[in-house]
Amino acid sequence: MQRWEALLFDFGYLGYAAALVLAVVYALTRRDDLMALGHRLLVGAALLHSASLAVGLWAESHRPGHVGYAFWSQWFASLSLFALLIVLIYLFAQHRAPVSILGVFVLPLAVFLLTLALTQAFLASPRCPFASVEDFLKIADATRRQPDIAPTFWTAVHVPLIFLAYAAFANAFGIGLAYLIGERQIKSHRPTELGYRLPALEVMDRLIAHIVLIGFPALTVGLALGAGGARAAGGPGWAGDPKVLWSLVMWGVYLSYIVLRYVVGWRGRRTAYLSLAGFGVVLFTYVGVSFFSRMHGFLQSGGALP
Amino acid sequence: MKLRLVGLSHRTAPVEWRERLAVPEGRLPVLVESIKNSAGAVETVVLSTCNRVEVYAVTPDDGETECLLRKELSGLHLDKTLDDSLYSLEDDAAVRHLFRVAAGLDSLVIGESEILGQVKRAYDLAQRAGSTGKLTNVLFQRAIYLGKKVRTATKISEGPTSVPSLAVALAERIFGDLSTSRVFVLGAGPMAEMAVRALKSQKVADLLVANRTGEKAEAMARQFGGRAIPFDRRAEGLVEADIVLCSTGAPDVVITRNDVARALERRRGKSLFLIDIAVPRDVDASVNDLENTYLYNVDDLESLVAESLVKRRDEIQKADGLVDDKTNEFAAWYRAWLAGDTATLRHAPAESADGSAAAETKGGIVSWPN
Repeated sequence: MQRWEALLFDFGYLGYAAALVLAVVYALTRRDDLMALGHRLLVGAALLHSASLAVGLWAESHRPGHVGYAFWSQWFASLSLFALLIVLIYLFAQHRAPVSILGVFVLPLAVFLLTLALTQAFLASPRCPFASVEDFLKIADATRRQPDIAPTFWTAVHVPLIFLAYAAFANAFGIGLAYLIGERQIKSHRPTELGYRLPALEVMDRLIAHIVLIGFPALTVGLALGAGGARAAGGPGWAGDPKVLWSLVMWGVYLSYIVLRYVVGWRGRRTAYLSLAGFGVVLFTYVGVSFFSRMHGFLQSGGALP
Repeated sequence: MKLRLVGLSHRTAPVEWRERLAVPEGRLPVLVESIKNSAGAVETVVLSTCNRVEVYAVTPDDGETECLLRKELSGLHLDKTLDDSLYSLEDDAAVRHLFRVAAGLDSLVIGESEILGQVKRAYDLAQRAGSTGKLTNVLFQRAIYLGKKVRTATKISEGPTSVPSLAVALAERIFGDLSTSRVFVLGAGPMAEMAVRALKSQKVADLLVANRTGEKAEAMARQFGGRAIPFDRRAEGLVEADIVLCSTGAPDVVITRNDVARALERRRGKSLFLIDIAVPRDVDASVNDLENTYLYNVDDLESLVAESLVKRRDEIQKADGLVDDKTNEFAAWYRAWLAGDTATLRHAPAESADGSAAAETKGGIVSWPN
């Protein structure tokens, strides 16, 4: 099983990396055929990657004494899921703004996250990075302990929902960056050819807003389920957990995005900056806080729940 | 047999003569027939656009035909000055000329793409009239292929070439599809009219017109299918419209920073694109500092256009290199064809039984010769 999971993961990773390279080459050469090829590669890689996660999840839920949904609680699988959701939401964005160079801004995030996952595998079992994934999955399976708090179904849904939100915010970040570059070029009267390959400013502005509208409800429900699950399990003082605290900050940032955009009438650069700031909080909550949080400290335990 | 070209273009003749010689599509079969009868042409393609009228013909190799072609092309109008402005080229020189034309190297605006469509159209019409043959089939398919290749392999058709086209390109970079955008025109003038025409061709949703002279606004609104608003209520136009085109002859600013700032409050953050082609300027320059507002004046636009034209010129050499390569390739094949060298000819595109080209493969690209 781990062999399949690892193989599918490896090919998915290679597919993403190739799609990213094609996106960059497309931005530089304007060759539409490369754009089309990159899109197909990306879809294919996303399918392989989904299959890899499905295999892992299936194997996990069939291990005696384990429940499938604890799967996401590992660092490796969570990075993998995060990256997959980024790609899926990017495909949605690409559908809305076809033939553009948005991939250059969004795909690096997905590839970076998977590279992190690969690095973790490589550090655990230093062979060639791709062979390491299989070794690593075996080691992780062998050493993983059950978490202190038995995950209920609701806490298990909590994790993918939060990652769906994170992935949406990652896309909003990438497109926000593209927006700011495009806006600067037009404002300063220096439009470049490269800029002509970006979607129109208004299109990007709307796209960011719509993606935040996907992410925000997912975050809200995800957080509520997490809180409810922790209470039901009578877990330790989650309210004092830094991750929970920072998640609330994140929730506040994106709530203010929606209110400012749709109620107050902010648009353009200001909201693009907000999407950048919001993702900064996401990154800090995801990576930074993990060092301090007892409950969500995936990093301290090398990939397993404490 | 000889490939001959006789024609005139914007380089050699004024527009009146080009108009006079232009061949309407309906008259084409008659002209082709006439050329066949008088000059003994076995293959003929006529390229007639507003910038050039050219006849490509495969004729017997004698001294008479060139003169006959000149007469055919000019009809009864041939006088000394017209005769001087006609150019005649043969064989390789004619091939190179067609390749340069298809590549946009002989166009008024270097690298423009319309000409490629016109070459294609001319070839289609000739095919339909049954006046193409082996040589013209290969020649024109090759020219069309090269025209595409030059535009993808070089940057010769990149960037805006005129103020109106740049204005449209910028508007599209801000709003995307312009079909939901509204245009507000303040003042009139030839440049404004050109820009409105260019924007109208993108099927904008609505057009508002204001002018210090009410009648002029009405007239322009009628002409372009928009509505006129009083000049004093121009601030309202700023709220409604997305693209504002200013070209009044007013000595002072007619749109102040305050006007725009107040309009922005009511626009709920929607972008506003102001194009100020008036001299002296109509819009306070500091308007560009306001959020979601983009102001371009005539200098901004013209310097961008000039820059892109310079960049295109820099690519001419590269494009000429491609033209040379393909001309030489064609020349080699052409000589082989004249000599009946079947070994070389094997690589030519296949022809269907009736002699018309069946080689027009996917996207009009012919794989021959390599």
